[in-house]
Amino acid sequence: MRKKNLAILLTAALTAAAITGCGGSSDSPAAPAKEDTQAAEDAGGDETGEETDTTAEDASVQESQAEETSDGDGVIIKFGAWGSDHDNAAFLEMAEGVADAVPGVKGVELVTYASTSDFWNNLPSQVAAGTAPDLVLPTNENVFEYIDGGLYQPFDESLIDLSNIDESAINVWTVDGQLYGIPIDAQPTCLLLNVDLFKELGYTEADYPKTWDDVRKISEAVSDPENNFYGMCINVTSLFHVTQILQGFGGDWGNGASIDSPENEAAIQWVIDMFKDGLAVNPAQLGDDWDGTTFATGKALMTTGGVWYYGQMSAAAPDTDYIALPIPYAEEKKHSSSLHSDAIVMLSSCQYPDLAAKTAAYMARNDAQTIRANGTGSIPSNPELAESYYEAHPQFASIKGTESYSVAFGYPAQTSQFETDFVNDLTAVLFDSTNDTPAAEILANLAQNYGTN
Amino acid sequence: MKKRISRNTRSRWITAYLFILPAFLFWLIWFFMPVCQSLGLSFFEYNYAMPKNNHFVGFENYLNLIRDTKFHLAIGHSLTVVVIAVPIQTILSLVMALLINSKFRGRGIFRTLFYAPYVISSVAVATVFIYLFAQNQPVTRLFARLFGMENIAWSVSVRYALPLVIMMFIWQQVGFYMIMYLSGLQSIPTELTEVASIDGATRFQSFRYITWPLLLPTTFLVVTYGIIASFQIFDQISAVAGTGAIGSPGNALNTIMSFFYLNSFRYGNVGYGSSAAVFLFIMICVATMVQKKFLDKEV
Amino acid sequence: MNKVVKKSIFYLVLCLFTLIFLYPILYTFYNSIVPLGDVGKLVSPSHWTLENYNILFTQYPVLQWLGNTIVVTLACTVGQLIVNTMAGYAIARFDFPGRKIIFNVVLCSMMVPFPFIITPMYINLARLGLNDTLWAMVIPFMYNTLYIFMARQFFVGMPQELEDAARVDGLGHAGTFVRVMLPNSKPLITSVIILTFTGTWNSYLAPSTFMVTKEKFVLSVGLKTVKDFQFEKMNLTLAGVVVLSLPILIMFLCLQKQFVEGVVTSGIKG
Repeated sequence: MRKKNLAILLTAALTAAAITGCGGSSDSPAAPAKEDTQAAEDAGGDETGEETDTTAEDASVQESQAEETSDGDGVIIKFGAWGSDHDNAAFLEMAEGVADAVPGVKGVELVTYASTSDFWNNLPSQVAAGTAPDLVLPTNENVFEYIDGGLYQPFDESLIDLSNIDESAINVWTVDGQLYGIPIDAQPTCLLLNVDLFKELGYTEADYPKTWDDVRKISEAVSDPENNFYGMCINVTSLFHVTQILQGFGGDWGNGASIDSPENEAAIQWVIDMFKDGLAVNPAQLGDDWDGTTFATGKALMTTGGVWYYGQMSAAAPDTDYIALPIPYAEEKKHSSSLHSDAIVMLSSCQYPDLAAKTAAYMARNDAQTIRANGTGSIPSNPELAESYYEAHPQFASIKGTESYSVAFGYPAQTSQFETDFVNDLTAVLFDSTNDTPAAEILANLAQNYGTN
Repeated sequence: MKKRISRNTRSRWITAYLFILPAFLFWLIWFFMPVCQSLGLSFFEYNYAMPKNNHFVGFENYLNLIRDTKFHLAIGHSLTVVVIAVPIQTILSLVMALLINSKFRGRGIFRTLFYAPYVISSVAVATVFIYLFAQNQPVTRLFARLFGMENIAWSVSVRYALPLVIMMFIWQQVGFYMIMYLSGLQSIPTELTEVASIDGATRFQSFRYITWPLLLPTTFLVVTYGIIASFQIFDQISAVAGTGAIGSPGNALNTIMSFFYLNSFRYGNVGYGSSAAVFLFIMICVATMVQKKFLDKEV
Repeated sequence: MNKVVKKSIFYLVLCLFTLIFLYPILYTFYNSIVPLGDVGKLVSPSHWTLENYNILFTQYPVLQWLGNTIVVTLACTVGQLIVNTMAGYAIARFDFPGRKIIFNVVLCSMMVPFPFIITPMYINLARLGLNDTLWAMVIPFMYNTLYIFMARQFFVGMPQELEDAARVDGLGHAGTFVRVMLPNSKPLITSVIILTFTGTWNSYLAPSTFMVTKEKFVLSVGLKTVKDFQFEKMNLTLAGVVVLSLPILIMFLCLQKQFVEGVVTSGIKG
């Protein structure tokens, strides 16, 4: 009898733990919020299998959340942040004083993600559960996919003042005449060149490459695959770098409208030939984690990139002299480059768009841009602040002005899937000596699946 | 008399159920419910973050899956991983467990060392392996000379990327199975092998006729879980991809698991991803049943 | 002479394994103590530095993350140990209606990839208001079908005499389990502790999905934020790997002593 009691006791204790574990945290300060959520859950029905009902239920959960945060003297705007620890501190500093500047807002609270990919992994769950942030700060690289899918809602421009922000940055965040992001920074892409190595190899400033043909000629002269040295580093595991070459050739993805344009074909074929002839290298070929490492360790003379390479260079190769050049072209005046811009965007699930819009504008004011630029080394979207950035970083001065012809990345709507397919199709050719599929064929296949024409 | 027995039996039953109850409750709430939720989604076109197109599609996801050539590739790669990784890691972990189960100086250190890869994050392991098998590296050159392979970085090669990932996978997992075998070896009474050696049995004979049969439950566990884990290989693939596209180069690392992950988490195509996961589950079930026939007759 | 040859072969095989296992670990450790510019190169010890560790511990709340990790790991390990061994014991040693079904349910549950259930799990946790609390990383992880399976396989192999002896001594089912079976299950308990501890300590997907407050992160997630803008610095990342892995290795080094030959035998004798 005693033994059985013991078993029952043990089981009871564990079961109690299982149940009170859930209820146990009622003692915590967050208790009222939770009761609201539970009330909302009861109201929305308790089923979990009937998926068609979830949207209605989500709405009720979010309402309860709005009640939760809107009591007292204003709402708390939840701001999704990822990146380094320094970013987090910077975001809070950027939001300081928001309660005075935007009536109705009590403050900004951070929702932290460990990394960009964690953000994209977690956001769907959070939107479904009604715990997503109101504002986030993504880059414009694959933004079209999310605008097209309805993840973000446009800003009401009558509420905010954008006079301090560069027009080209506003342009890349405007889709169908509506503004989806308030840009904090605006950074034209560039071609990075290791000046020390360049001079060592017998070149002078006059030889700085202006066209893709120049890049190839220099690479032909200097590449030495046996000793792990290449003229050009092209990271082909993501769309970004190849897109730089594509736009330099006068091409464009056109959000899916011009995937197989002749310019795109020429650009991709150029990439394929560079690899097949041993003139370009993908960082992983050398065991490197990204092209910043390859460039900083002097294993490649050139790479495409942006000002964010500054951090890597100052830490890994503080004594190396390097310069940022405008993205080369195939034909003058017939080319563009990308404008990389981080902006504050508002999720469609945000319950108080007007307050969030004003908060976003507040966090993009000049002082805030300076705070962020100091933390991350990015180029502010305010033209005057950008001016002083270039003065402080002379190695990037020669790309000043390229933002005037810089454009959006223009990826097709199903960006993530397109990127995976493109990278796989391209690497299948680059890293298999028996495969010599021409660029035209790769792009024609992609256009069939992702083209909008 | 009869009544007594049946009451006794019933009390045994109740005890058993009580022993299982806590696990069952946790399982019901935190496993079974979410599984049903996700399973339901496989009959929908569904996107959590951008729900404007969500609608019921019946078996369409499954039908599309059967026609999807990318998915066919994924099945092939997943099967390759299982067929190569499971036998190697089972044998290797058994050998390692036997090695360090005997008494010798410093075995604690060796045990820890063999277990260490399982502890280290896949990201660090990938960093090392990608570097070791990069082009012009001594290891790559050695393989090139010994087996007539190309001097190309394995992580970017369409042909060698999968072998590299399998190698990483085995290297990381083998310590895990070693622990299972160690625990299994402990339950074998030493008298048995001692008696056998007195009777003139060789080391191999006593292993073959005493240790191995007694280790069968453990082997069943190791092989079963090995099949499951190999079908679900993902950490190493994601680590090799780094910040780039998962599955590259040239779809060489496209497995059922990465197919499921990409659709569910990257493409926002949860319904399609879920149907791939259901397919994965069915494949694992079949594989487990097949090996159960061979290994475990008593279950 | 023969014995010497045997011994040499034994140590030779051991050393071969050691080399294969040690190299990547040394690589990780070495690159965590050099400046970024020296990663992947062999440099003189004068370049070696503890600066990476210094940065980790002074610029990031590593100790707080460590504390969270310890709390979560201990809670999960204790819970799992009790829940899983109980269930495994029942399935192995009791004949009751539904036993086969339960065993198959355990097997099948192992076959479902965890990412398959993470989103609904998060939604359910959020409904209960448990998201962004340490509870979220503990309550759903109080059981693990693999360890139930492991316990079952272990108890199946236990000699029947043990149980009979306990019965003779007048112990009931619970008494047999607590007083006889568990004390004779040291290898099982040790391996469940080791594996649960490792699994929870290193788990990434669940904590990174459930937590959004930096101060509540566990170590594995917190260390992912250690980077410069968007890009990770290899030497800092690897220093993080060392900080993350070292406690588990120490735990293992302490616990592995429990793997002593012939535990069950001594139980029978006594």
